[in-house]
Amino acid sequence: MSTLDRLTNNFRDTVDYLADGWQELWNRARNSITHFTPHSDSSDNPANTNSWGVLSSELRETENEIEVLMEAPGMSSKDFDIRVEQQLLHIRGSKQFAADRTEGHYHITERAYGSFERVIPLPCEVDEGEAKATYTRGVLELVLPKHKALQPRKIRVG
Amino acid sequence: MRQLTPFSSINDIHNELSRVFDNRYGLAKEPVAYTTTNWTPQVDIKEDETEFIVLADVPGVDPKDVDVTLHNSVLTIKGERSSDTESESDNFKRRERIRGRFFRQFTLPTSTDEDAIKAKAVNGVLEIVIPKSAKPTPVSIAVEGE
Repeated sequence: MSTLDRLTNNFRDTVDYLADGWQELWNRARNSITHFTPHSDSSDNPANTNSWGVLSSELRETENEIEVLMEAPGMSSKDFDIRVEQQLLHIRGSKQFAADRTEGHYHITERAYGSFERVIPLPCEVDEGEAKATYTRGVLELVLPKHKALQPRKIRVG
Repeated sequence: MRQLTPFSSINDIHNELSRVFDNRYGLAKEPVAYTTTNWTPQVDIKEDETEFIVLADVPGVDPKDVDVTLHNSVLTIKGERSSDTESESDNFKRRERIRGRFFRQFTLPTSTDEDAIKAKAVNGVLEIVIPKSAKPTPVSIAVEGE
């Protein structure tokens, strides 16, 4: 094999590798990259903050429940507005600068502030009235019981 | 099967770019041990008259697993997001969160009080407060003649 062939092959492998990697990354992350709309009243916002944030989530299905985890650090539990509409889970939220944080100047601002909405498709219908949400260590955890008709039913022999 | 590590590639690019741009501010980051980290927390670094405040997003990380040190003006934040045993099961329909180690380093100006550093974690945000030290009085050094 000539040197040129080898180089061509190496180059092709590298391109393939990058394309695969990018595809993998894209498939995994495209939904987690979320736009943050800055609050209009935050004219005192001292920094040109990042308006794109990564809200990584996870969805797990068990026999009776759908469990959703979403990373959203720096919020408080009352900042979330969560609803389910037609098998779509809408998570809205708003992250603000702490009021005492507006003085001084920023060297680095990578964290995103503002309002966001993330929509996560659910694999089946859920009973949203029975849903439970908790917020611990910056991770929102939702437990959504599956719709009664979809839960496996035990039949007792009388 | 090939192991694809697009996230770490993106992290590398991110780190590389950050390094280039942060030099503008005189807050150059130290070279990061790329290969040993799985993810990079986003940070804000703020300076006011009395202190530096570093905010780092570390959602889902147990505060016990975070290690903050300030030595010779180099601030190091490292730790690990451990996977809960439950999540080892494979009934995931979607999985975007990255587990494993993280590591970041920043060089702060020398005028900080290294002993008075404070760190706490609230709602997945690590908050590190580093007070500035009183300005050292300039010492004039007499030049001896020959």
